[in-house]
Amino acid sequence: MAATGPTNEERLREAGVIVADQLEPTQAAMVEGLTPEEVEVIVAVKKRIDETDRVLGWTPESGDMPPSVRAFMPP
Amino acid sequence: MTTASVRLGRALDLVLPAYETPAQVLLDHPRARELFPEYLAASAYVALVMVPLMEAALARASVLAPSDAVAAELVGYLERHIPEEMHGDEPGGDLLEDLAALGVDAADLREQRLPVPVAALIGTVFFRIRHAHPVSVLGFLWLEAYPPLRSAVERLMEVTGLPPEGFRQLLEHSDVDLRHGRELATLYDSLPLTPWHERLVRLSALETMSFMTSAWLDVVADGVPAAVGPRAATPR
Repeated sequence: MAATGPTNEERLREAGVIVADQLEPTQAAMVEGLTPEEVEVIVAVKKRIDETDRVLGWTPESGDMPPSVRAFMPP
Repeated sequence: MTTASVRLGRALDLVLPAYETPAQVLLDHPRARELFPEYLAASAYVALVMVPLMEAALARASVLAPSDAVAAELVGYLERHIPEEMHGDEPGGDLLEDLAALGVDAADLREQRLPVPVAALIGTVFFRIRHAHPVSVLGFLWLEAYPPLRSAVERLMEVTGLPPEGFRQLLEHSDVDLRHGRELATLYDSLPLTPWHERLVRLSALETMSFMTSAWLDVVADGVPAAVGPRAATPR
């Protein structure tokens, strides 16, 4: 039998994207429906945030979450 | 039965914390006044290409429309939405005026190297419109579902002390895009999408948010790997 790799949820947990103890069924279904390249995009941007955190010593994800701001993006 | 827009929103929730991070870092940055014009300039490239990319999608959708129900529905939406996104005689021109108020030279912005993530974003969106399906433009436009919060823009004005004229488009969009985002979701939910269409839009939306996050991080977290340009790190 061919070996199976980690599930999408496992990959996203390992990257720190998913931190909740347990996903709602609808969220779990959505996560497992993501394609490998979509998971790759999500993990890559999380790694970039983590690297920012390491260099700057602070990002919103590293401490108390400040109020939502979205992004300063006019379109 | 969930709608397509709800399914898309659930997936984008996975990158939303990252997408918001550069703005949050900027608000707390000791050099926010210096960095904000560059941050907004990165956004300006998207404003400048938004209409041309929608026109490319409209042109492609018009070709496909006779035999493609999704493309046919897209034509009507884009014909209505393109004029709304002009924002100036030149698409995105109003934002260039805001940038000018912040001391950014529009001619320099047009001529200099694009931030690498922004160039990658524009090329990716255009390629998918032309070679996959024009519905992929909706993933790019989904940024409209996450407009800047007015309170955050006002706080940024206070933190930077920069001229209010530099924040006009941000303030305008903090209100306008609530409507645009709803219209986009309504349109998306009305399309006869297949799972293939949804995957295409979802990937485009994830990439759009990811590329813009990288572009902004290159500005606010200078010195972090993948940054464009030889800026020195500024640990805090």
